[in-house]
Amino acid sequence: MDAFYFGEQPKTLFGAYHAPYAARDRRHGIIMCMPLGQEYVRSHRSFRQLAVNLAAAGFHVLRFDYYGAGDSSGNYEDGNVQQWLDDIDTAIGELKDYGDIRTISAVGLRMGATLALLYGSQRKKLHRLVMWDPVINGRNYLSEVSEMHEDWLKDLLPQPPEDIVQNGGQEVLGFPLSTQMAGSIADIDILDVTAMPAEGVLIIESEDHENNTRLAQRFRQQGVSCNKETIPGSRVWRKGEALNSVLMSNETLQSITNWFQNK
Amino acid sequence: MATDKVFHFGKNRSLIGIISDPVKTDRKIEPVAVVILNSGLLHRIGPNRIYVKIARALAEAGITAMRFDFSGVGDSEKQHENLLFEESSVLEAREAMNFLETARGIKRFYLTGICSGADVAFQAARVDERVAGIIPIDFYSLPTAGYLVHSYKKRLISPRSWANLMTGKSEILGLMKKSLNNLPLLKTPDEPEEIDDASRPEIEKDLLSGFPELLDRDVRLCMIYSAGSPAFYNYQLIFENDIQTLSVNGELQIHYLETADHGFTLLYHQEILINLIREWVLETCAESSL
Repeated sequence: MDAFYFGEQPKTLFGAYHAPYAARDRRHGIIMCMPLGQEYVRSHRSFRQLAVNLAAAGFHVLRFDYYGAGDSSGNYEDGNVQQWLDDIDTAIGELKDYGDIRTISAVGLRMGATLALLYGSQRKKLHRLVMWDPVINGRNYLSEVSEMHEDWLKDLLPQPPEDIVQNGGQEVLGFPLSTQMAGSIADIDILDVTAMPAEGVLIIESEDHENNTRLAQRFRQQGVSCNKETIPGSRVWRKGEALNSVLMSNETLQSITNWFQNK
Repeated sequence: MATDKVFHFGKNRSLIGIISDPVKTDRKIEPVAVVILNSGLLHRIGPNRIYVKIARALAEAGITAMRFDFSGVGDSEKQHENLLFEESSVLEAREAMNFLETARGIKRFYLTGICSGADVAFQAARVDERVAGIIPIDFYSLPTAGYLVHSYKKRLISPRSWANLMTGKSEILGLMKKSLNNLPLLKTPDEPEEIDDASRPEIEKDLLSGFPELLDRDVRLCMIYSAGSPAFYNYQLIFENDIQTLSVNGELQIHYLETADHGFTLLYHQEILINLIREWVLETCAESSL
């Protein structure tokens, strides 16, 4: 693995490139689109392991952090959907510099899956796309994470003073939530997307969800090859009560690797 | 603006670290670096990305900071297969200092980290004379049986805990059962008991002996505790009586953030923690350079 910064100042991004096992080089690059905030912290280890697995199977893999997230430059509150899509574009450009890569695919978890879909639909179509527990609707996502934040606060002992807790709704589970960021997320509804993001899609869900079924149907109606798998243990982004836990679903990682290998 | 650079270092270049290089300032401070150590299995950004914020705040104040992943954590490869984490982590903290010495010419270091990172900072300082100060955050957070009882007492007054108990969501019964297996440790700071040295666990005796060792070497200590961790409870029960007399000129400071949780989740608490670390390092460096 090679870790480095790429992109232009002042918005340099952190990247980690996993070279394919040489004898199996498929000339196929896969970009990893991480989720946001607390979900990113929880899933980092899963993504690293997935990158190792995919590289061993012959894929060029690039993990990266969005501007303002992880080790990338910038402040978290400066992130928004357009910036994150720009970051995916910059990361794909970087990945293409590694060897003779002919096709680009993406794996995304939660908001990362949604951003990968928006990228493939609005900017450049992807070859394959894995959507792991995608965020279907931005407003629902904001309500869900805010509810998790409220639940966490209720369990906190001793309770911090009210003025500290409120903070104008500008934070969620350890991370800022700026007005601009929330506004850009609220506009998302991927069931409205018309241009198809990839030639083949795998949806992995941790629980059977009607919206994922509708999303899969929509892809199939548009002629996109779409598989959907329900893997209960894949809910690493929410499992457990404690924040900042590091969890991994080996079954999900294996399923994603097999899907890419068999395509 | 401070910039971050990523490095591969250590045996077989298998460790991944990021240096936040300092901006130029007019402050007269000795050249030191702060090394930030992993909190448990979380990778080098720390809980809620707070290690990145700490490193950049220090760099903006003119102090070099480095965060890195221990082997087998985050992006660093496994190495030292035959060593326990307690051993390999101290070795690797020293490798990080070796690297900074080579790459940046720095010879004096401050170590910090939350939870297990605090424990490694303490132990690395004991064996490496280049360490001028440590900032252990929630040092020795092992949830002893006594802490669990103390914690249940607090939860008994919470209506939500009672609701969880009635709906079968409570973890209290299971944890109580575990605690009862450790009856000799059922002590609380509210009900202090005389602890004779013979009955102390070896690990506590070892940690207690570390404080005078460090202070005799003029290593500065800034210990920070959150309310949401067993660490402060342990401090009161195990360390307080023995170490409070050791510091005569403020070489050892204790800070307690009374509403913060173990991961410093609220932005308000993150800000307090960052300021506390930055100001303490600046003050300590300024004193040393006089």
